[in-house]
Amino acid sequence: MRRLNYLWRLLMTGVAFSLFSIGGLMITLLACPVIRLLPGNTDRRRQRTQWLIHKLFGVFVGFMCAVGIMRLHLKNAEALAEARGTLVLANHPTLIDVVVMISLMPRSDCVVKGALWNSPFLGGVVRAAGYISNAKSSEELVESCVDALQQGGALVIFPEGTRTQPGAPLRFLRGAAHIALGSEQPILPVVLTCNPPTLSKGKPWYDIPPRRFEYQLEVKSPLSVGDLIEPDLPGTLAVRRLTDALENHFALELAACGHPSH
Amino acid sequence: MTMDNIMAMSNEAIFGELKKILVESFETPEAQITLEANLYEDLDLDSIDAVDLAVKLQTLTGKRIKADDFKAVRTVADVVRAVRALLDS
Repeated sequence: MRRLNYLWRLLMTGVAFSLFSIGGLMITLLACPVIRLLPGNTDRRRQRTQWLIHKLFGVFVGFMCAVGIMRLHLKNAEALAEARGTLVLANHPTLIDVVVMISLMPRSDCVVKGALWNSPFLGGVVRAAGYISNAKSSEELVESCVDALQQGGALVIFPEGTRTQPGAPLRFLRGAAHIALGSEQPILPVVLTCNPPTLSKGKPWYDIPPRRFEYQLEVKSPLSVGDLIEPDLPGTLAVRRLTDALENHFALELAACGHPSH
Repeated sequence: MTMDNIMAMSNEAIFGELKKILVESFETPEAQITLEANLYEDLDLDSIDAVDLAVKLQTLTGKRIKADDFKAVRTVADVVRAVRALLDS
């Protein structure tokens, strides 16, 4: 019975991965042209595309839960749905983090890899959604992120820059702090945990856990820069102190969830 | 430091000033600052820091640094050379 369950979850994980790629291609081919034909300016089109991605990611997460690959536990997730002009920061344990988060956010901005931005399959979608390509200089990238926030976007950033290396201490890059200091918008911390760990960095999709994974998303109380660092620091120091403060904040939150980050 | 002193600055003095900036503004551990140290790989600066560093060096020398000239800079020795060239120009 256990073996059967394992094989079922393996098969369904494969189906989920295929669905994702096929889904992306379908939106690029079918939905994007429709959205382009609908009346409204670029901004409206962006919002519609973001909403569509939100809905489809919801279907995708629903599928994974329904077939028994994962179980989703949400805490205070409404705060994500309502986030506007907010820098949403999350740790990054798995490949599906952004999918789960956006499935809860009707409006969201995020930074995508240059390779994805130009991809023939998904490039059309991420460009229409007005997502931000990381294929530019750091200064320009921070500027684009600050702009998105000041226009009322809910910008999702993983301060680690990539998925957490399992077993390694949490290590934040300074980009998130640059954006927080540049935009002066509130920070919404989201703590993600996945048990047993799966879809983590360096693991192939078929390396599935021995049982269904429990995925927990908890939205914490908003923070402001003023809560985390002393005022009036010179920029170069402020960004370092804020990075350390955010890293510590998340390390403590994760430890409180029973995930010591070594 | 007066302007004349700055113009006459030896490379050692430039290195000393640069060290001071790195320690005070970027919290770089002093022991790590050698001429061979790479700003990005060894001293943990990022490209936004490099812009801040260039601004501080402009203040020090009173001369404008061209962004393109500074982009090629990798090591501490490169920075000293760039400041030297700026002072001699």
